[in-house]
Amino acid sequence: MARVVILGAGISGHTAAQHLQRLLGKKGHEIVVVSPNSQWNWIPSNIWVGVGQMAKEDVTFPLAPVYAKMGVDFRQAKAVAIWPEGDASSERAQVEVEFTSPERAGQRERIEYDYLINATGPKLNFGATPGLGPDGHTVSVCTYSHAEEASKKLQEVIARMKAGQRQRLVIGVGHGTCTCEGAAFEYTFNVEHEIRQAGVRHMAEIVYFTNENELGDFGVGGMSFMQQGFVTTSQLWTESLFRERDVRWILGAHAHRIEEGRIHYETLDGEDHVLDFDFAMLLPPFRGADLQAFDKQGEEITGDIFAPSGFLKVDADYTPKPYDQWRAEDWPKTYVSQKYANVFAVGIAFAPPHQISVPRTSPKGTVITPAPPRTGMPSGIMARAVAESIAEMIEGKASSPEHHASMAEMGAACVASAGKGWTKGTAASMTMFPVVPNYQKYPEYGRSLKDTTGELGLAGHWMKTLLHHMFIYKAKGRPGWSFIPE
Amino acid sequence: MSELSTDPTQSGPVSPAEVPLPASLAPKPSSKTLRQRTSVPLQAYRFAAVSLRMMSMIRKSHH
Ligand SMILES: Cc1cc2nc3c(=O)[nH]c(=O)nc-3n(C[C@H](O)[C@H](O)[C@H](O)COP(=O)(O)OP(=O)(O)OC[C@H]3O[C@@H](n4cnc5c(N)ncnc54)[C@H](O)[C@@H]3O)c2cc1C
Repeated sequence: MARVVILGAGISGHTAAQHLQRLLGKKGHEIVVVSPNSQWNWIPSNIWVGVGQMAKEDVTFPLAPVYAKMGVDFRQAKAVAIWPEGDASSERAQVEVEFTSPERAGQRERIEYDYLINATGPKLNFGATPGLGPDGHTVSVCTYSHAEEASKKLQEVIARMKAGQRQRLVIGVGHGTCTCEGAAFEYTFNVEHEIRQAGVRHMAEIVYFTNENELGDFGVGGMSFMQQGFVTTSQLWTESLFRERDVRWILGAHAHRIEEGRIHYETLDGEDHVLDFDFAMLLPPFRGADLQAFDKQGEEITGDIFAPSGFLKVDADYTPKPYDQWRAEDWPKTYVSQKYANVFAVGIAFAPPHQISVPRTSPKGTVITPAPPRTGMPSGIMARAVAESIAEMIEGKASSPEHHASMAEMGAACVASAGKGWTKGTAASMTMFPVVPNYQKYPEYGRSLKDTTGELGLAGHWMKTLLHHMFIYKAKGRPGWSFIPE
Repeated sequence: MSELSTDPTQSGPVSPAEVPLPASLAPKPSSKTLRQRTSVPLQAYRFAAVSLRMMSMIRKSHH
């Protein structure tokens, strides 16, 4: 009987666990999930926690009862190291974990595995910019507790505006190499909506602060889509929304350091600037979970398996090459490790071969380019593909991973909220296909114009709310969950 | 905001009193467009249309 160990119970790890249990659970194989947090979190709705429109309980649920019902072995722990060749005392591959549950906090254990899926998502690297983050001078919405704190600070700012003080709110990214600009965009417009609802919009200056070279880049190099008989760009479309809602923007920015109420930053032209703020929500750059790896003799081999960013190297083409030589085929298909055929990485945990946006550096050599986003839908699809590949290999139906989920062959749906409310809410509903432009297949725009779309309106808000309930229902493994697509 | 923010005697870059609205050729929506974006009957139709479009794209993405 085989054992599959999944590191991480976020969007990708939990999806992999559900499908592996569906495919193998009744056949006596063992599925083990290791994750440090006792709660599952629907991260996209943290935006609404961050403006006080949802509570932590609306976006989370405890994992242990769900896994108990599914028959998955859940260990509340964080992985710290892997021994893909075993060690001096055992031939079997193993992963070392450190418990985080109150009962066993700090204890370590080795778990042997036949297959390992690294789905550890992002490590929020606030340390990359001094002063960034909840331990510094800015807030975040990356976790539900960060979002709760952001909401509290936002209410304080609204109270000051009501008392007659004009306030500057800066929302965006806190480093030149950040990703997830879509989340910063959503938070910007949700904050703008809340401030308008509070009747103090005239007292607020809202500034979107980004590493993107133009609005609407979103880390995917922007999009082209058809609107009323014209091919338009996500840049024009996004700028239109910013103008309509009077949100200012600062582009191509890298924050060097943040002090109380002040951002010191450089722009792509190499100029240094400062920007004062009363409230700042700046997302951190991401890195991998920084797992270590050792060979049988105990020699460290972390650099052979992981990229310097801490993400796991998979079946991608990592050869450094200039932008004009980037190809759709550079992107991984099966997510198997380059070195070990029984180790996989999905979601944010795999190392992308390069950015999607055009790479840019300031004259001072500062890299100011969004990293490629690995959003919910692609993370779920690749997790399912890996689960299916592993199930087939365990059952002897395949000798190598056969399910493909390249980001250059799949699309993504992104519904970015621009304000909550059953009749007054709006959201930008975007689809793109494929996520990574494929200029061989779509020479003019890199993507299919039929499947790359953008639309603003109340319908998007309803969609976002529906997705919130649907994905929490699915993650809880309720009847019919497997019919809900990733 | 911080009193230092617009102090011209301060050395080094100075935070602007107001971040200017960058130049943009992007069209602003008309009041009709804005009304349509929150019109419940129209948006109910758009909801159905966007859902179908997304489902088609999602089907193509699952191999
Ligand atoms: C504010 C915000 C809004 C977003 N909105 C959207 C949206 O609207 N639509 C969309 O598609 N995407 C959105 N995203 C992106 C989406 O959340 C990610 O794509 C998705 O969560 C990635 O899934 P993942 O499984 O790779 O990582 P995660 O979901 O972050 O899961 C990682 C898991 O690994 C665990 N872990 C961490 N370290 C270890 C360790 N050492 N050992 C074991 N486990 C570990 C974590 O506790 C967690 O359970 C948003 C992201 C943010 C931050």
